[in-house]
Amino acid sequence: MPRRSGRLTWRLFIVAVVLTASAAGLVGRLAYLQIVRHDHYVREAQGEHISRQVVRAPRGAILDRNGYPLATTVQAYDIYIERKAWQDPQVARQAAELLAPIVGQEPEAILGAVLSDEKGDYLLAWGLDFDAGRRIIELAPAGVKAVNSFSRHYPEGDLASALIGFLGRDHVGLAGLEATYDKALGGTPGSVYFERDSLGNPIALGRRYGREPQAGSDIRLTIDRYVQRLAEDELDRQVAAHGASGGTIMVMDPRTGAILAMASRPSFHLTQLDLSGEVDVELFRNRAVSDVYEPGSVMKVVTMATAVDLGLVGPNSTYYDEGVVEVPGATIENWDFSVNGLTTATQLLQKSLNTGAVWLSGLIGPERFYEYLQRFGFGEETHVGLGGEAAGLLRSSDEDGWYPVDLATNSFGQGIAATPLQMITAVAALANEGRLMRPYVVQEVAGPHGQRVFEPVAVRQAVSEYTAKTLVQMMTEVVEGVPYHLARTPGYRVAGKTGTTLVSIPGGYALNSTIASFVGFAPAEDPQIIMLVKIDQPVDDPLGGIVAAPVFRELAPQILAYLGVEPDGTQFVQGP
Amino acid sequence: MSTLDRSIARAGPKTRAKAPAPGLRAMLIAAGLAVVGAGLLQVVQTSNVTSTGYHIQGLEEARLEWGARVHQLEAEVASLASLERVEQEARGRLGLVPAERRLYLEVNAPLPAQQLLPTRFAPAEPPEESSNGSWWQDLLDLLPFF
Repeated sequence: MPRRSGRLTWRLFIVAVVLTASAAGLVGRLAYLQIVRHDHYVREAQGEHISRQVVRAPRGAILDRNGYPLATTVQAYDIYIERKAWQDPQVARQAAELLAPIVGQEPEAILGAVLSDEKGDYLLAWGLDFDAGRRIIELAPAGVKAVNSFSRHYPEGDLASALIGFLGRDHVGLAGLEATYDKALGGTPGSVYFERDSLGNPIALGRRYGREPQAGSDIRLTIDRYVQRLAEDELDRQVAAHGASGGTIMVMDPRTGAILAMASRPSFHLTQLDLSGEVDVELFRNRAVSDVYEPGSVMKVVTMATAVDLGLVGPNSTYYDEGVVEVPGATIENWDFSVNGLTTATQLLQKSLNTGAVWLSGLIGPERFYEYLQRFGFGEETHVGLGGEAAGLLRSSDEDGWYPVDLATNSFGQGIAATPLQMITAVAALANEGRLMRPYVVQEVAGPHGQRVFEPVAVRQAVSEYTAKTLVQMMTEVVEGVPYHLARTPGYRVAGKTGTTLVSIPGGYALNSTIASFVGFAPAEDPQIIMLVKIDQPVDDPLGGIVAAPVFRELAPQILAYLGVEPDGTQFVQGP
Repeated sequence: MSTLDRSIARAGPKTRAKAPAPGLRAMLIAAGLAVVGAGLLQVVQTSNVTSTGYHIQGLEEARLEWGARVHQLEAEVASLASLERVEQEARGRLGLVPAERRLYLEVNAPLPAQQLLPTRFAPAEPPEESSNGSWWQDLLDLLPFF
C-alpha cells in the first residue's frame, strides 16, 4: 500500500485557496456591511423600531394695539380611528357608542365612515375641545387615538374676519394675516422619536428623545378693537339702511400710517366658518386692499393739490364755469348739471365741479398730472403687508391706449381705479404736511427670539408742506364752509371731500348704480384720524354727501373721544 | 463547602482540620454576599429607574395638561374681557343705554393702571435657584454612568 506523502498536493492547495478566498470574502463582506455601510443599516434598524411623531407648535396670538387678543390658540385634540382595530363589529359598535355623544355624531354615522373601503386611519374629529379629548383618552375606546393639536379661539367673535383670515385643517394660514404671517405665527414644529412595539405603539419605557416645538410669535396689530367694532357695526347698519351691496370703512392715523380699523362688507363669519362644505371664496377677500373702485370726486383734492404745488392756482384763483366743457372725444358736465359762472378754486371743491377739475388738469398737463398721481401712490401697491393687495389701474399719457379725454376724466376720479387703502393713504398725505406714509397694520412681532417692531415709514414728500396746509384749509372749507354739510361734527373741525361715481361694468358704466364715498380727517388743525367711508350701490340715494358723509359724523366724535382728543367746549371738572 | 473540607482533611494533619481557614470562608461568604448585593442593587436601581420613568411621564402629562388649562383660562379671560361681553354687562346688569347727548369732561385725576391680559412672551419672572440638591446626589453626579 503506497504511503501518502506529507507534502501539499495540488488538490489540497486548491481547497485551501478556495477556503481562504471564501473566508476573505466573508470577512470583506462583513467589513463592508458593518463598517462601510454602518450608518445606513443603523438608520434602517432604527426605522424598524423607532417612530417619529411631529409635535405641532402652539400658534401665536393676534393681538390688537392694546394687547387684547383677536385670535388666540387653545389646546385641542384630533381624534383618529385605526380601521384595523375595528374589524370586530362588536368592538367597533362599543367604541362608536362611547365616542358618539362626545363628538356629537350618531354611532351609525361613525361606523359607516370608518368601515368604508378606505385604508389607514380615519380622522373622526379635528380640533376637538380639550376636555372632550381628555374624556376620550380616559374612556380609551378600542382603536381610537387622540393626538395633541390646537384650535383657534376668537374672543372678539367675528371682528376683523377678513383681516385676520383663517387656517386650513393642516393648521396653515389660508387667508388674511394668518396666511401672510403664517411662518411667524406658526412657530417651528418639534418631533419626538420613540421606540415602538410590533403594533407600532410606543414602548412605555423605551428610548424617547426629540426636539421641543418652538411656539409661534405673537403679532400685535395697529388695529384697535374698539374702533374696529364701531366701524363694523356702523358699516353693517349703513349697508342695511341703504340696501347697499357692500362697503368699506377705514380709520387711519395720518401722522404714522397706522390703520386703526379696516372693515369691509360683504365678508364671512370667522366663528362659523366651515370649510368642509361649499364655500363662497368671494367673501374671504379683504376688499379694502384687494378691490379697486373709481374714487370719483375725492380725487379732485389730489388734482387740486397738484395744481397748488405747481404754483398754478391758489384757494382764491378763479375760473369761469359754463357748466360744460368740451374735450377731444367727450363733453363733460357738472354732476348736477349746474352752471356757476365765476368760481374760486375753493368753491370748485365745495361744489365738486367736474368742469373745474378739467380746467385744473388742462393747466397741469398730462405728464405732470400723472407724475403727481404716482407721487401720491396711485398705480403701485402701498406695501401694507397684507396678501392680495391690488396696485390699482393707472394709465399714464406715455402708455398705449391713453387718450386726451383720460386726463380730463382722471382729474375728477373716473377712468382711474384705486383701492380704498390707496385713496385714504393719498389723502392722509395732505393731513400729514405732504408726507406720504406707508400704511401698516402690524406694529410688532414678538416671539421666543425677541421682538421686531415696525416703525412708521415715510415713503416720500408728495407735495410741499405749504401745499398740504393749503389743501387742509380748502378741505375744511368744503365741510365747515357749506351749510348743513352732513360730515360736520360737533366739537371738532372737519376737513374732507365727498365722492360719487358710477359703478363701472364691462363696456361702460351702470347708470343707476353708484359708489358713494367720503374721506375726511379731524381735527382739521391737528389731524389725529382720517376716515374713509365707501358705500357700494346704495339703493335709496346715490350721493356720497348724503350716504357716506353722515357716517363720518356718527363715528368721528366717538373715535376721537376714545383716543382722548379734546373737543371744543370741554368742561373741566376738579377730581377727588 | 464539604468538598473543600474533605480535601483539607486529606492534605493536612488532624490538628489543622479542626481549624479550617476562617479567612477564606469569610472571604467567600463576603464575595457571595457582594454578588447577591450587587444583583439586588441592580434590581433596586432598575426598579427605581422604572418608577422614576413613570413618575416623569406622569409629570410631563400633568405639565401638558396644566399648560393647556392655562391657555384655556387665558382664552376664557379674553372672552370675558371682550367688547361684546362688556356691552352685555353694561346693558343687562348695569342698565346702561347709549348716550343721547355727549358731554366731554376733563378730570384732573390719574387714570387707573391698564390691566392687560397676560401674553405668552411677556417677560417671565427669573427662575429661583434650585437649592434642594443633596450631597449624595452631587456625589452620584460625579460618577460615570449615573
